[in-house]
Amino acid sequence: MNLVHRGRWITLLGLVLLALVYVRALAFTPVERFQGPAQKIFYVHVPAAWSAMLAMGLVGLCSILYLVLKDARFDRFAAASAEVGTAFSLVMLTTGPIWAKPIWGTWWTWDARLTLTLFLFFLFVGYLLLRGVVTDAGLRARYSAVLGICGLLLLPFIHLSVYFFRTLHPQPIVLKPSSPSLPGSMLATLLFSFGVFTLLYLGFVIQRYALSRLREERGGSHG
Amino acid sequence: MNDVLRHAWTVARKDLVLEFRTRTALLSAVVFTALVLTVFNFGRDPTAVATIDLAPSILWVTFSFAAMLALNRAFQLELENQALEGLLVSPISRTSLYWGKLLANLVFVAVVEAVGLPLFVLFFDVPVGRVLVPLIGVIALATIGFVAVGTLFSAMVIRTRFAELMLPVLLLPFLIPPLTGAVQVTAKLLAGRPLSEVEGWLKLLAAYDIVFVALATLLFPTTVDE
Amino acid sequence: MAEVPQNAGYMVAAYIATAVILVGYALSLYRRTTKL
Repeated sequence: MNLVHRGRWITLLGLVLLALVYVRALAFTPVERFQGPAQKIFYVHVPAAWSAMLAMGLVGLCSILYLVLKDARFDRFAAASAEVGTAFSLVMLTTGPIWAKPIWGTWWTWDARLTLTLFLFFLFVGYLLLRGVVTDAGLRARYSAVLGICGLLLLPFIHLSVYFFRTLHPQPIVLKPSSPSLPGSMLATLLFSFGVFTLLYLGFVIQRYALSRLREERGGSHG
Repeated sequence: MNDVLRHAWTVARKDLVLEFRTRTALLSAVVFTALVLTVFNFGRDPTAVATIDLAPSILWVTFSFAAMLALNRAFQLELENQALEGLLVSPISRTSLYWGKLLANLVFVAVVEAVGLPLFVLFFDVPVGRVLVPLIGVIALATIGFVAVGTLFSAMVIRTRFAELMLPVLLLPFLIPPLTGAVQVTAKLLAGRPLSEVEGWLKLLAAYDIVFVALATLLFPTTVDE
Repeated sequence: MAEVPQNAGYMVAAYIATAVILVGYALSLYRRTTKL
């Protein structure tokens, strides 16, 4: 299938470029003075966050479009985006604590970033679980769309809740994990990584979408 | 608009009459709440943490469980008696159906909370007297948030496998903002802090309610249409 | 002035974890689209 192959090539390209990001980040980007080498986790954690957010945003958008236009392709894309988003959320959830431990002294803290990450993960997983327990394709598409839209709207409230919570209970922060202005070399690495993670999102989502379409064509009702 | 409200009340009344006639679900929910509060008492070390510090969390976790229980049975009745189809072909609009269900669920949860709150005060010796009115206000705000989303989701999960498991899994992330707000405000109220300190949280709770009641009203028809 | 912290181990762990997850997912997609 053409779409599958296209997806595969994009993914392969993305992975090769990811290796280049690794090389650049690990060997050719300066070590941050106060945080040490662990700061470099930044270059994979933040782009993964971006990809997960992108995935969620598209799940929400496609959910709305599906309900309005009733085109099954939007549902198929939303489902693909949710699965891909889960993968990137997993990256965030593993790199987040690994980064937090040396910088903040604790594996977990209920700060805005980690908490939102956790919620994104729960929303993606909930979405996929819901799709798993509904057998009728039309019903599944409608239910998923409802959940997708609700999930998207939940995120600002989670953010606000965490923000209010933290202004009441300031956590001891040893070092700031990300400085507002990055020196040129670090910024370049970060931007490069953003591009690569976006490319990976694209490659993954195209393949996953193609997979759904293939399954439907072969007669299964599961997408 | 009048029609919508009238029909909603009809739907709600039907549900509530059914509930209060059998009373089983209601009694079970009340007993459950009492048991949860009891479990909390034995699940803590009173010498380590002052009751007053844990009290808000205990109250709200209990209320969350109670709300979940209430929601689980919400559409059960309909499904069991094929009554849902009947409701759907009737001239009652989907909006009325949702608002009716919402109202019925709210009353149900309110009754459970009305029993749960005095029990909570009794078991944990919590001074609510002076702040009773604002406390009831917060309870109302948070409960509306829980039940608005919960009514929408229970309409969905009732037609899936593992409905009882799916509802908490899907709903819990949505309970966090109202829950957080409710716990914070309750804590401040019990500590005798002025209401002005919790203005932000109250606004958040209100905003949540408005957004999600509106959203659920909008999306509910999708979940019950064939 | 404080020394630069010696926490490269965390960095390595995070980079490996990321690679494992992303490559793993890519392989999963490959396998699933091939099996059909």
